[in-house]
Amino acid sequence: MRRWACSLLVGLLAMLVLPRPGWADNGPHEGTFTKTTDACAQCHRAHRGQGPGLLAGDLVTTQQARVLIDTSQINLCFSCHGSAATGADTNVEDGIYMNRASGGQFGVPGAGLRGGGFVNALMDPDFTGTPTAAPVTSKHDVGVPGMIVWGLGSSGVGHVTSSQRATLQCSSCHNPHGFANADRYRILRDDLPCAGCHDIQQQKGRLSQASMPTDATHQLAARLNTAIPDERPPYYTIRYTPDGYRDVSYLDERISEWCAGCHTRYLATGTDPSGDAVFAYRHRTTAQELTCLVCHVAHGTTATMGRFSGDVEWPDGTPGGGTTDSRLLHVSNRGVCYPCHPAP
Amino acid sequence: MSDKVKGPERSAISNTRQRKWARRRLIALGALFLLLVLVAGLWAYYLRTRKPLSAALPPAPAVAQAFKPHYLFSIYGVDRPLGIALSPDGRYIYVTESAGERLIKVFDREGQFIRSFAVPDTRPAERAPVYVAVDSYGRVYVTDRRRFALYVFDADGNLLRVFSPPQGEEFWTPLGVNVVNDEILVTEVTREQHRVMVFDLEGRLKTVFGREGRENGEFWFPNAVVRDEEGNFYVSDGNNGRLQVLDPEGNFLYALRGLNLPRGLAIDTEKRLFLVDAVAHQVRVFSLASQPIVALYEFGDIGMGDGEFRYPNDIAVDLTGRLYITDRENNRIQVWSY
Ligand code: HEC
Ligand code: HEC
Ligand code: HEC
Ligand code: HEC
Ligand code: HEC
Ligand code: HEC
Ligand code: HEC
Repeated sequence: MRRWACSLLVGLLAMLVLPRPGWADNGPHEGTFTKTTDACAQCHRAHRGQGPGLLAGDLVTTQQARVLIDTSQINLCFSCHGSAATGADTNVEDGIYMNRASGGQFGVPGAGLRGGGFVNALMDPDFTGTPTAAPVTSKHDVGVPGMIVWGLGSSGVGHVTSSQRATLQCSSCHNPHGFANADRYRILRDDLPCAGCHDIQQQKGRLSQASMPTDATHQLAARLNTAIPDERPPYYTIRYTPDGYRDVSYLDERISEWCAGCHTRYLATGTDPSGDAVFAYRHRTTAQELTCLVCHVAHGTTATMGRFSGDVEWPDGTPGGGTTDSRLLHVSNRGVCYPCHPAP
Repeated sequence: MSDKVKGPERSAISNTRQRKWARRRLIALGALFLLLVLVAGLWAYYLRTRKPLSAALPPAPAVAQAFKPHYLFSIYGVDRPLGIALSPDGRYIYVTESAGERLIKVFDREGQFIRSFAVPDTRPAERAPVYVAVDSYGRVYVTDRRRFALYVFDADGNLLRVFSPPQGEEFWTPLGVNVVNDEILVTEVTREQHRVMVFDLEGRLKTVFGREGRENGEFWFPNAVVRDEEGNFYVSDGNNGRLQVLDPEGNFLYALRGLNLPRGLAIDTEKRLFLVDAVAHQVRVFSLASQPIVALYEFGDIGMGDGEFRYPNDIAVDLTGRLYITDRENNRIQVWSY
């Protein structure tokens, strides 16, 4: 009782005295931002002491009370990374690097971004020789609720449960705060939400390797906790090897495991049948030259599909959507296969 | 041994102690509770009296600055607007869009759509108009972040000229533009050289200062620059979260820190400086009557209702005390007035 009264009193006093609690810890997007408390303000509002949640010390309550971010986080990120790139050079809305000075670690002057874009992208999915800016035909739909996380879960679970649906945010894949002691490629999360089976809000950022169960799914999760090394290459444009397939040598093969942190059953060693009704036979995705990003882009693509490619049904049986159903493939039709399997 | 003997005695002592303690605890609790009530009462009193107090102030000229503007109405029909400017007579509003067709749209004072235009021969994905300014002849200056250019249109939207990069430089990246006293004030964000540039109306470079960084006099995505009557520069230093004030030669004077994401700036005839803070969802108002400048108040909050903002970005003021603010994620222009 007394303790309760005391803390309430202290709380009230603090409310009067402190305009804002002091924050320490690492700055946002570490590596590009310095470790100053000032930096938090770019994304978190200078609050005016509304609500005791501010003092509770509970991160979740704190977040609700002070994070300015409205329902769609994309608005915050687009305040800097949007089409006018008013606070960054990587314009992920248009999928283009908005600077003409060379030598930056984030892009090649005026060229398309590796991830493609969320609204438009500057790509060459038809190998014309000239990348052109066009609206994307598919993308990771950030902010849209209830999307199916294809392939999430272990063998045999199908695609029916509501636990396999999730709302993607930029921070589902990226950690906007960066990492205190490691340089992670594109500040990609090393603690994926694993949204389907676990509540996306609850688990995020709070899992440690020590508490991981030992079944197959979770062994994978444990491995994901090791960092993807940051190998920022001097060149940024999507390059192709002499054989013509996409060069992803800048990435470790663990990027496949990373994507599989959500799309669990797409990670395949080629020793099929897998026993899963939906993902019975799968192309190998576990080699350096066969990572997910050899065939897919991470954000959005402008590729278009022909008659057969556009007809391929979704894993849950939904019919294919035609020419614009590009499933993040970075080349039109099934051009992604051709470099390795040319016509006989 | 001795422990055994002292056993019961001790417990008797501790019993009285306990009783004493309980009393004391009761008193302490009571005192604490009283204090609590007092503090809560004071706090409530403070909260309740805060507003009436400022409103009751007499409208003496010096205090007139304490009055906040009020919301008038909103102009819809713009797609994630960013930049805003007014024609010299204040009759027309120019706005840039960052989504959809990405046009420069023109409205009249009442919010009637007049016309729209864009850089000729470009598709929406190939342009990104950001900020806009109008000079005393009615010419319209538009920065395009995607095209690395500063365009000049006539009042009807016909392209007049393209500003070229400063002499001896291959390219540039103009971001912010304002016209103050027949000078074109530009912020430029080519990697490593984020800086401020001043041109005359013919396009001759008069002054340039700054580079990318976090130190005093350095900038990190400066979004806007304006000048006061003394010629001092005010730069909204976006990613550094501060407003920098520099003397007429561009030497650092001081900075106001602790802003969230400062973007558009404007100065009115009452010596007020308006700063749009995109992430605070507010407009912050300063008095330029003395140096260093003084924060007066801020208005707006996050939301979708009247007078609420979602990522506001730029502001323009006219001579009648009207304020026009781009309310980006609410897809509208808010009109406020004194
Ligand atoms: C680039 C934008 C950005 C910056 C800068 C930033 N944050 Fe955050 N912060 C976010 C986002 C987005 C979330 C929501 C995170 C999520 O959903 O995982 C968040 C969440 C939080 C939370 C809630 C707990 C959590 O981890 O989910 C806290 C506490 C927090 N931030 C503190 C800080 C502090 C302290 C700083 C400065 C050192 C800072 N933030 C800087 C974007 C940012
Ligand atoms: C599905 C996961 C995912 C989501 C959601 C996502 N990203 Fe990414 N992002 C990635 C990956 C993976 C890369 C690295 C791509 C590569 O190197 O090929 C990346 C790269 C980037 C880059 C570096 C530029 C580039 O394209 O290489 C930026 C900036 C970025 N993301 C910002 C964002 C923002 C802002 C959002 C939200 C609007 C977002 N991302 C949403 C996975 C994601
Ligand atoms: C197929 C559904 C499924 C997926 C996918 C999944 N989990 Fe789990 N997880 C479970 C279940 C069921 C439990 C309950 C405990 C058990 O099985 O031992 C659990 C338990 C856990 C626990 C222990 C929690 C506790 O309270 O003890 C952690 C940590 C965890 N999961 C992390 C992850 C991470 C990280 C991922 C993503 C890589 C992930 N999980 C993906 C089903 C899943
Ligand atoms: C205040 C402006 C600002 C905001 C807001 C912001 N960023 Fe950034 N971000 C930057 C800058 C500057 C860089 C450095 C690269 C560049 O210039 O584009 C960067 C880089 C990145 C990178 C690449 C990092 C690397 O190490 O490779 C990712 C990914 C990213 N941001 C994601 C996000 C996400 C997700 C959000 C929203 C939660 C966000 N950013 C919000 C300014 C911002
Ligand atoms: C060899 C090229 C290739 C690689 C490597 C690859 N994919 Fe795909 N992916 C495709 C093609 C082609 C489709 C279109 C559907 C089809 O043909 O099955 C597709 C479709 C998808 C879909 C959409 C749902 C569906 O099945 O249609 C998801 C999700 C997906 N891939 C995830 C992944 C993940 C995660 C990885 C890495 C573990 C990966 N892919 C690796 C070629 C590839
Ligand atoms: C945080 C969880 C998460 C991660 C990590 C993730 N995805 Fe996804 N992915 C989703 C969700 C949710 C959807 C369904 C919603 C959508 O289409 O946006 C999806 C959809 C897809 C699709 C189908 C897109 C379409 O609509 O055509 C492909 C292909 C895909 N993901 C590939 C990848 C690849 C490749 C990676 C690694 C770079 C990756 N995903 C990482 C959650 C994730
Ligand atoms: C980067 C080169 C590469 C690309 C791109 C590629 N493959 Fe393969 N493919 C291989 C290799 C290597 C194998 C042998 C796989 C193994 O070791 O299990 C293979 C095997 C196969 C097999 C035989 C599978 C089996 O189990 O025997 C088929 C069918 C196939 N690929 C189809 C495709 C299709 C369809 C695409 C386009 C979606 C594609 N491949 C893209 C390299 C590639």
